[in-house]
Amino acid sequence: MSELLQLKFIQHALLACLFGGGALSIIGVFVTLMDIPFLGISMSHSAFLGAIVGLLFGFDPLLGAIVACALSGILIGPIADRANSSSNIILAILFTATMGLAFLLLAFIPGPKSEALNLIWGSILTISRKEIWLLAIIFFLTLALIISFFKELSAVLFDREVAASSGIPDNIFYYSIIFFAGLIISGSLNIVGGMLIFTLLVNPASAAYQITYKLKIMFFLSASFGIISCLAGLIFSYLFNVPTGAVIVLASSCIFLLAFMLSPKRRIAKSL
Amino acid sequence: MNQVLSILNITISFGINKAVNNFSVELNQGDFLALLGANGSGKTTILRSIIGFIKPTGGRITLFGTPATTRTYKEMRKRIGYVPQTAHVDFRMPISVEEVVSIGRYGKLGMGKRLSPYDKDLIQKSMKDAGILHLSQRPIGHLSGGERQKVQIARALCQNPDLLLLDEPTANLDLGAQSELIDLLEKIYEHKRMSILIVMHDLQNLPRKCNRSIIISEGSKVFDGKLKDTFNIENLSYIYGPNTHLVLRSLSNSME
Repeated sequence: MSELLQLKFIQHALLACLFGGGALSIIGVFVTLMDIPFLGISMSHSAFLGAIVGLLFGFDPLLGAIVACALSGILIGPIADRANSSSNIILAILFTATMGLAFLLLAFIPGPKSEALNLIWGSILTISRKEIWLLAIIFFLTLALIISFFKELSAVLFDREVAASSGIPDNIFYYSIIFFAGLIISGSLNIVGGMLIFTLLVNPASAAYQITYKLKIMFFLSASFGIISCLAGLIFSYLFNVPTGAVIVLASSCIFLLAFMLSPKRRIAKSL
Repeated sequence: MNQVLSILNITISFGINKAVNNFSVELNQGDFLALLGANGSGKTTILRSIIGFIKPTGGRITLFGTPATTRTYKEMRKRIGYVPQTAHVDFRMPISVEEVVSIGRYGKLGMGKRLSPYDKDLIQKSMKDAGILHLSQRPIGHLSGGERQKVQIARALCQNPDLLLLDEPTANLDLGAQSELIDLLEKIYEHKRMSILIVMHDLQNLPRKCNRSIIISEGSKVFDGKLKDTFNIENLSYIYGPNTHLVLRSLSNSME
């Protein structure tokens, strides 16, 4: 095991698990409580489109992914509000539109397309130092914002209208949550890839929700479950030579199943 | 007498449908006004336009002497306690009763600031006034409908509001919980003398402390007067339609 930890790419992967898995699972608490699981898959495809635009016009695909996610994050909230529609509907439209456009542009990229396709499947073992730094910045920024504005965020999560009626600028916080989710997703694409990213957004937070009645504990448990899932994925894929992303997804699903079986909420629902 | 609310000729349309038509009302400090009407008459739409969730297509709303605009609402809402219908709030959130009540202080505190000992005292006092202090650490999802409604009232009270807006607070509650809630509202009004505007469609639950009532029918005001003058066949027919006679008999029984 100590030999394994000496390897540079394993060290990078461990840090990616900590920052990426942690950040995704923290923002997953918002995604789960706001009932917008489609956010993950929609943002992943926005990132995919951005990366393809980057490859097509000769700039860093990661930068393209981040810009595309940030733009989507800025637009989704206001469009859903103005269209008087559920955010999930707007996310579904965004998902199909970006996927269609991405595959259209993919046809114009000459030569092999593996760099762009990597963003769909992810590759935690090839993550670079630059990407680790990006993940660390996003992770600490998310943590700082949640700690600083915990009371406003909890009010908006409880009910936007109740928050607004108390004088809290609910729109700013609601749109910021979606914007930050976009940033985290684009920065974390290399961990599990776009196709599987929403597992880390939904599973750890849903498992945490089964166990606790406290929002602060839900954030803590969700982050822990996310990091544990990523570490399990990394270790098992190294030991048994199986795809990392798939093991991360399975590990987080097992944690959810365990939480569901032990959940006090399930017992209460059954007794009603 | 300080004027708290003035609505002047507001019209609210959703597409081609006019939900509120040329409606006006004034509310002074200490007034307890009931806005009555059948389902779909426009009561909730008027209430939501006062708090700024719906923008009138015409007319003017003035709160605390200042015209209500997108810019001025931010400050005005800190002086308004709003209790929405419980059916519109999702109670699955992992949050305790005390945390929900605390939301009432958040807007007044300012962004990023923590609750002071004064805020914490006020939160405890509001829970005590609403009779839910013993539930303070319970998850909100574990409460009954009546208890949840009391939590919302405690949250609104903890804002120290000058105007309290309540949207059908007794809807979906059993008879016991309904009368308990109305007693609570009467007690709050008796002690605090804040202005209250309550939207109701069930006259049997109307707080006796109401000193004025307005009946809305198809978005227009059809009656504005004292509560005791509200109960006649003509007025009630706007609310209950063909069942008015049955309701009137039941109302007179309950008044005796």
